[in-house]
Amino acid sequence: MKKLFLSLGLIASFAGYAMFLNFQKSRPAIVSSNVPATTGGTQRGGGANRPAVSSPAVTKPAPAKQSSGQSSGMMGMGGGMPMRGMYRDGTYTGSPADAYYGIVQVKAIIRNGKITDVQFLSYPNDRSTSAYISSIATPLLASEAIQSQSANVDIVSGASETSGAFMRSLASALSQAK
Amino acid sequence: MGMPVTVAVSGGTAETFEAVFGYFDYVDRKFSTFKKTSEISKINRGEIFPWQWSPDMREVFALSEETRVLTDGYFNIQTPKGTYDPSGLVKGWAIRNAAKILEEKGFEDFYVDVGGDIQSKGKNAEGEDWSVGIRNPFDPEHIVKRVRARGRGVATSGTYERGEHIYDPLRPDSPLSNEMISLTVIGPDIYEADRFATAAFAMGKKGMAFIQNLPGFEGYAIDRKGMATMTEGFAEYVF
Repeated sequence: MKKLFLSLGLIASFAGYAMFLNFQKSRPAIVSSNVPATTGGTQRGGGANRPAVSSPAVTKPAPAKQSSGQSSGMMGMGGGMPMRGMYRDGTYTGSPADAYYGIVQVKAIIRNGKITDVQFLSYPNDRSTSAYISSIATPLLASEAIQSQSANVDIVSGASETSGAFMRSLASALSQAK
Repeated sequence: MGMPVTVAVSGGTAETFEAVFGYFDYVDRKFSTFKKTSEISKINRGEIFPWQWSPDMREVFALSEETRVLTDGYFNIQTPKGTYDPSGLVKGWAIRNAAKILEEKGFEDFYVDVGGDIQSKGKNAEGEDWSVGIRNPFDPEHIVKRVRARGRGVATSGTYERGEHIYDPLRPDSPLSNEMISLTVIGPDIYEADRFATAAFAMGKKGMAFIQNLPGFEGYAIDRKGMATMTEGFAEYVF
């Protein structure tokens, strides 16, 4: 069967990765890395940058402008709005980005002008947890029979829905005891 | 079907609660896979490109990827069908953001509870640290343990309320077969507690070992027979 992707269009690179432990940290500039043309960074995706269209290029990482002074950052494309069909079908791979726990690269696959898959390519590093988790020996933990009791507490934690709409349940203002 | 949101704020006004509930409405409109017009639904239909995603969407995807790597794939927002459902991460993330809204407004004593995942701060009306009970999986009107949250996040993953809704991402075709039916994790904040509770629950027998070896986290797991195990430092929260 003929491969649907005979030619790769341009690389629309996308490296989105952040290690946010602190929400107050201001977002780093968003940069993009195209082989043919590198667009500048923009804050919060709201800029007018758009990846340039050009002749086919292979998935080799392009030099990317990085915002300085950041040990981690979120990088991605600017908020430009490409026209439908402007990008040829193919696989677009962003340049690797250091994301604290290792190098992460993001690959986007476009078919019929639509993105159909986003894959995160993680590179192994010495902080990989995979060997760690599989080798965890079960420690000897304390155990007990559960003891049912009345809910004489402020709040109850229990398993419930993870998805579905947020429903307003209760809002209360309290006054502090003096 | 849905997640009840309960908010208690010492000194809160109608405007306070509107701000918090309004934020959850915003999160719902963006991340609900049940809403055709949500950003995540558009992404799953292939209608928008990563560079068109909103900053919050990029952040959630990035945090999801980080969590996936940290948990060796036991946490994964990609479903077996290939679509993305980040709700397992969005829940704790949104609660944490809602708590930040309250903090930035200057409130020092409050809690936000979404479906049993809790972020609290400060003290209750009696001037004591907020108390949290772990629901009895076999009798939802009762609890089996009481802890003082002390500002930390408390999240419970389990199967008893809606059946086996947590699947093992590494073996999507086989039902999750573990004896653990409820796992409560206490962590630095609700976002952290929630993502690792979700992942650890999917790990089955290794889940509690994972929490035990994770610095800053404690866990309390209940099995089908009503036996509970707890990590070493869990008892410090119990009262």
